[in-house]
Amino acid sequence: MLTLTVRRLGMAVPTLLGVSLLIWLLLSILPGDPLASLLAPDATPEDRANLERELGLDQPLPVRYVQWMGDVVTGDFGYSAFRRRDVSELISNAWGNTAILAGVSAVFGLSLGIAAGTVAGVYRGSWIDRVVTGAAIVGLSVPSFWIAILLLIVFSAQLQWLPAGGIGDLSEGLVTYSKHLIMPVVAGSLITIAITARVARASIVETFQAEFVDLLRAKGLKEWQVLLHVGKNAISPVLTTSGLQVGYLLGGSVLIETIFSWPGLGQLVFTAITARDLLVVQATTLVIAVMFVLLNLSVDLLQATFDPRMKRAT
Amino acid sequence: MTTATGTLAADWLERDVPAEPESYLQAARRRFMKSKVGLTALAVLGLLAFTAIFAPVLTTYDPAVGNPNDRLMTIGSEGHILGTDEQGRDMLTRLFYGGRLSLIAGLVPVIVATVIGTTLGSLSGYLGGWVAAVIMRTMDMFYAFPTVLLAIAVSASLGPGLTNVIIAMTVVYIAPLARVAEAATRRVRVSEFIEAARLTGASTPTIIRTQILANIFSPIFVYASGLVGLSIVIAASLSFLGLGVSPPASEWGFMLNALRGTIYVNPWVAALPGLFIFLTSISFNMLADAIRDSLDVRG
Repeated sequence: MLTLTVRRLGMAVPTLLGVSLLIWLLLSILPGDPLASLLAPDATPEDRANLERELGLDQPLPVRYVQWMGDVVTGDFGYSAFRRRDVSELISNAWGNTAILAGVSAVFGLSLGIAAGTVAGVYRGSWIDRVVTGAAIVGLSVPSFWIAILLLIVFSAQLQWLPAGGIGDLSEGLVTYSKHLIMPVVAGSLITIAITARVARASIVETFQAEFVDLLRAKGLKEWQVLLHVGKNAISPVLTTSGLQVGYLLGGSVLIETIFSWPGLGQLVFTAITARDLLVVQATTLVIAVMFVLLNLSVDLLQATFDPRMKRAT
Repeated sequence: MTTATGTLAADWLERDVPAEPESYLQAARRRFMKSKVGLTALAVLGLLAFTAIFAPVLTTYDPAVGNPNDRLMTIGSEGHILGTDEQGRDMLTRLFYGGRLSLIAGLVPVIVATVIGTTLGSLSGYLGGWVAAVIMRTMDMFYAFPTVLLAIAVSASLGPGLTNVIIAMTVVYIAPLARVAEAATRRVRVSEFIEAARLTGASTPTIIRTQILANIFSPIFVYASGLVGLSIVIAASLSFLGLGVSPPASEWGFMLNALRGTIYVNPWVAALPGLFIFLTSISFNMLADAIRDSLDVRG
């Protein structure tokens, strides 16, 4: 297990380097003037040259990449001229809120998806299977931001049951706090439910066809006991997809947090896009991508504890 | 005896005209024509494409300019069957015109990425070695990002505009398509007919063009068609965030965002653009499922 962990960590290093390189390329190579937001409209060419020297933009590209990496590793993402704050400060203020929203959405979406997929897989071919499979296609196709707006129309504008946006204050009690969470969680996790249900169903159906199921039945186990064995053997693909799902929840948070004014990383990205504050967009993307890589890494390791074959395979 | 058998054989040959053997694509087409879901999806998409292309003929209103006196009319109003938006523009007109940009923004990235991804994937699948290592490890980098987020980051870096949205989404789709093409090519590469082609002295580009492409077409086509539904939603998401078109152009995602403020006054009209995005996306997903089943590809 230890060698596996070390080896997987070693494999994550080039990935993380690749991620940083890609983000940095977006930052430095693409058209668009990084100084435009920092320079006064009446700046002279000398002002520009001075600022370039100050920010190290006159250095060759590889040097600039190494310098930038050094800054990032020490937690320095630069200064947002638009927000008048360090980018790292903006991110550290926002990421907790995103973690709460994505965490609750993940738990809700994954458990509902696994439950629906398992039921559909066990009763495959029945009406309940058809309902789940059909609902999953709808969940895959429906834009989360449209569902968000539909929820707002029904529960906020018409019925006035739920607050239209913002984050609740924990001091006002857990109920108020949860009320703010309901609509963002439901809208954001629909895709998670749909994909997880599809993967879980397929995996359960496939595992039920394995020979050991016949053996378990032959030796007289009750059907629920068989299901326990099948479940344990079917969990691997579900785990793989759940790591990806949490990543998608983080990515999709841009839309959901924008619509529900949830003060997390997603809303930070949206306001930065509107203000053309690219440093913030790219720093946030980098943070989320690194979390995504680490998350998939932990899922890999978790899988190895469930499935001994994985240990030998790697 | 011999003559008798001879006549018999000739007789048999004459009576039983051998049926024309069905080609792979003919069989696929026959299976698709039996799929009710696939045909329905195709009909819905055809209708959406028709209203988008012939929008100027189908409606007399201007999609960009509204009448300030007719603002926020409800669904079923006289003269404006689907109501009007916050600037008094006819919703039906804008939804028809909006289909043009939304369909283009959803389809073009998948098509372009399929061409690029297939080229990269088949090259590295066929050649292997360091070429494959360089191409595929570069592709791996893109997998470290959640799809939507990468599209947002690239598109935001390029700046607003529909072209940049299309470029950003193309970049995002190249990696998965290259992977599918590479895996399919590696399966085909070991076939005897490739060996035969190589022995006749055919060059690498010729082999890829004439032997490989035809044999990896199905898995790539199935995968790419499955991407379109998602692509429609992501394109609309980027427009919704203000990265796509600029006013007064009509595009479904952008319209949805513009109408977001009116849900307390005129709620159901505000939901219409989303309904069109959803209809398009689910039709493409069902069409893709039907195509996958009829091409008989496991995916």
